[in-house]
Amino acid sequence: MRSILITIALLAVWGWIKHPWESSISSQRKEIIYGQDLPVSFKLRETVGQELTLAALGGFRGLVATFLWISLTEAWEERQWTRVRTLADFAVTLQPRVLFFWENGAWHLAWNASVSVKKYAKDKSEARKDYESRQWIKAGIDMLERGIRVNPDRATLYHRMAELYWQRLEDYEKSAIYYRLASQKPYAPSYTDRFVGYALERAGKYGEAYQHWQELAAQSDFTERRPRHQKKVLEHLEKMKVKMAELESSEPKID
Amino acid sequence: MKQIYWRIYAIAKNTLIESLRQRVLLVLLLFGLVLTGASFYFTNFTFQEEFKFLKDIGSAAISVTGLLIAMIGAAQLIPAEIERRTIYTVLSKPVRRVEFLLGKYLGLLGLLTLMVALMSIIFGGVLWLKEVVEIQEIQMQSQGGELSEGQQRMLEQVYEQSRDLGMFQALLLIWLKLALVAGIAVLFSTMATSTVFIVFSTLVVYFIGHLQATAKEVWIQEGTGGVFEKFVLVLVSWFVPDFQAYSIIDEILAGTNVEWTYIFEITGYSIIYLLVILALGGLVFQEREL
Repeated sequence: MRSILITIALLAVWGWIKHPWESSISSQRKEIIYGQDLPVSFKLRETVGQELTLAALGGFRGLVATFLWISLTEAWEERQWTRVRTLADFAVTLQPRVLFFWENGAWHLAWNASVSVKKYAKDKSEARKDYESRQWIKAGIDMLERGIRVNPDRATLYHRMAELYWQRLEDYEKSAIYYRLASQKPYAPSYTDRFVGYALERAGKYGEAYQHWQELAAQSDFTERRPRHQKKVLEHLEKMKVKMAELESSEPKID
Repeated sequence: MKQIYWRIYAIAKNTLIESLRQRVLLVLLLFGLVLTGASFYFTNFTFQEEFKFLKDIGSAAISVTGLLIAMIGAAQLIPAEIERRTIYTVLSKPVRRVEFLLGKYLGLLGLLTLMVALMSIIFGGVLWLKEVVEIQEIQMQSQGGELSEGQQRMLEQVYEQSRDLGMFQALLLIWLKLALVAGIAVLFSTMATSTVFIVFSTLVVYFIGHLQATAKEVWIQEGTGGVFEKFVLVLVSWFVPDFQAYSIIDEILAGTNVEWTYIFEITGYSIIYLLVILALGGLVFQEREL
């Protein structure tokens, strides 16, 4: 009888401590995995299905995501694009903080799938092929946007988005916006800074581009840390000066 | 007091030696070692992020092998002693039942520690081998010349991933999780005689432990569950540990920085949980008719 009473008392005390403690741990865990302690309503839409799934998987989330990615590589080789998208979605749902899944998932959709439907689809009109190709590009953009929402402080996904707008849509203005965002994040590659300028030039915004190159050249920290970057910036600034002079001279003068 | 420690130590040592003689556990350990070593070749199925895949497979090998050893080992601790009647010989000496139970558990924990340590060494070796291969590839790309900005970044990434100190955090969490699973199995072994029942019950607790955090959030915080669901959930979560707390292992392996304060908090949680479980086990075992 004494043992039973002690057991009940022990469980009661432990349960009383355990609940708030576990809630605190759970909150910290979600912050590490999702970047914030997300409300359930968001998770229901985007991640809760995942939590239940991964919970059922018994704690082998990373491993499952890894094997899903291996299956995705097979689906990619067989050009099964819908399967690629499903598997990529599943992988990013399981591990939303792994940038590799977001960036490569988006690459498969916006580059591989989009090019493939144009190149290999038979019995389809050109208009249809164009439409489908654009849909895959949109799917890639959507994946990167979701990835950025979960990982707003990492340069990689902004960088990929800038590449996507540049290479797939030739929207250099948006590309410049994303290169700029990427360059403002910690550990961003130094060339993202330069690509803001290149993209602005391609967009025809020479004035803004020139100003950007001047700002880059005026940065004080790059002499020691980034000598190659400095060399390229100064070289390009010289080219821009010539270009700006040409533009000024070609402008119609009003007497 | 000193004698108590000696008695527990003697039982623990004996349990460890006995466990090492068991072929089933040794085969499992061998399987785990081979799987960890073979993880190097699994990376051939992917063309990027080999380190992530390597770490996922290696850590899963440690977890799965450890889980099997913890459950099977713990399930045999007391039922086997009763079946062989050796428990009567031990308990007829001045050894308390709680000391016996604690010694048995610590012996099993010793085996798990040995297993995790061995597999971690193999795992470390595989990571080192991968690092060497990757560095050679980068150097071949540069053809012995100066590395480009991109190659320099690749080299930094290789070092960052292969010499990631977060691996120690992940291994510590795996070990703590296994220790807790073994504790739960030991608790069941104080009540049951069937090995299958103990393994099955531990597995059920293991899966519920992974589900309960989400269920609690959806049913209690969101108010979507009925009164009955809430009652059952509260009752379940009263006993079952939140195994989701350890799921951070995957994030650590993927390169996410996790503060040591969080790891220490999980360590504290696991130790206190273990003490409660072993105290409960001691109370149950004390009352058990042998």
